[in-house]
Amino acid sequence: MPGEGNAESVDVLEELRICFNIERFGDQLAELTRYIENFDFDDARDVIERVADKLSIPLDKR
Amino acid sequence: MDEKAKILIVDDERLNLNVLSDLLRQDYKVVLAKNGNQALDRVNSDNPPDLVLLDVLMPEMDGYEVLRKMKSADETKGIPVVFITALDSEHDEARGLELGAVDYIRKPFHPPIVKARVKNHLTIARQRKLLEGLANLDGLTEMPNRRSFEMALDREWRRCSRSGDNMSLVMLDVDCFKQYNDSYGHTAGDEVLKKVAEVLKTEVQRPADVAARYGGEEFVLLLPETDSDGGRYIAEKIRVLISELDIEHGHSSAGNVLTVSLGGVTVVPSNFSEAKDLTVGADSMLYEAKRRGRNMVLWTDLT
Repeated sequence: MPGEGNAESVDVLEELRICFNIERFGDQLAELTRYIENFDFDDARDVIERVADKLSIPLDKR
Repeated sequence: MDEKAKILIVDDERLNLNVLSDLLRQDYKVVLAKNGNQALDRVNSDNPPDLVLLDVLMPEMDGYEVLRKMKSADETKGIPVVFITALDSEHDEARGLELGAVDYIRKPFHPPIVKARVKNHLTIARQRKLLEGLANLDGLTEMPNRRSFEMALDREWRRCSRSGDNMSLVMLDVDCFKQYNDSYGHTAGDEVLKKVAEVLKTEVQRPADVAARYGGEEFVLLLPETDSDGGRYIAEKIRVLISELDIEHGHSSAGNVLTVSLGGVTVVPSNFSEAKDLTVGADSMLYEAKRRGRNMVLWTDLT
């Protein structure tokens, strides 16, 4: 969703917060929240890609 | 239910994005961009917006430049753009509208008016798309018409000229169609054309391929990136499938059932030839197929 600049990313962020392992990804979550709330979607996407990479989750290409 | 229309809001101010996004999110899918380059990325995506709300004053690339770039590309020039800006002079408004914006809203804006204008412009855009679709469709067979084919031919010719790929074109004519109409009536004739069209639609399905009604009982198949073997194969398959429809035709010189003749040509488009040469080549092959007795495929390979 951040990849296409979707305004609903803000809502999904709330759901994502529940799923995140705060101890492991607390910094990334804070960073992601800041970017999405500021509508800096490209930067948000970079954070998601880094987290996905650590969790070995494949993402669609941009 | 209809899918929600997609609106792109472009503004470098976070607050403006927030306000407009909250205003429109309930009714539309909203995507956001904070600068001109992001906006162009979004409009050039596989799923472009149905309407753009565009700020004028932005760093690096202003809204006028974004609109100018959108208008210069075939893929994006039809997307309606509404300027929403703090620039409030008549000169600025005239400039925006002359560049091709469909509307110009001055800040501070009145939310219900923005919502109403967005809704109106989306309605107009939807109706225009519908009209464009109808203008390119043959009413009887519901397949692309000659106008649509000629636009596709021009587009694919230029594309294959750049890539150096082969391009094939097939012209198809229903054998002794006048006699069929005279014997079985025009309603039956129309039904035959629909059945032929169904075969073509089923067999020609690659994204860049086009099967179109060229006029009367003549159809055309545009097959980019297809060599003569590939083109001939599909033409022969279509010839057989249509004869296997087993439509009685007691007044045909080619047999007792309805048949078709096909003429095909393969070329490598270049700057030294024209797209219409392809049509002329296929048409002369078709003429020769009919002269030799109909119900056959004749092909010429000019690569």
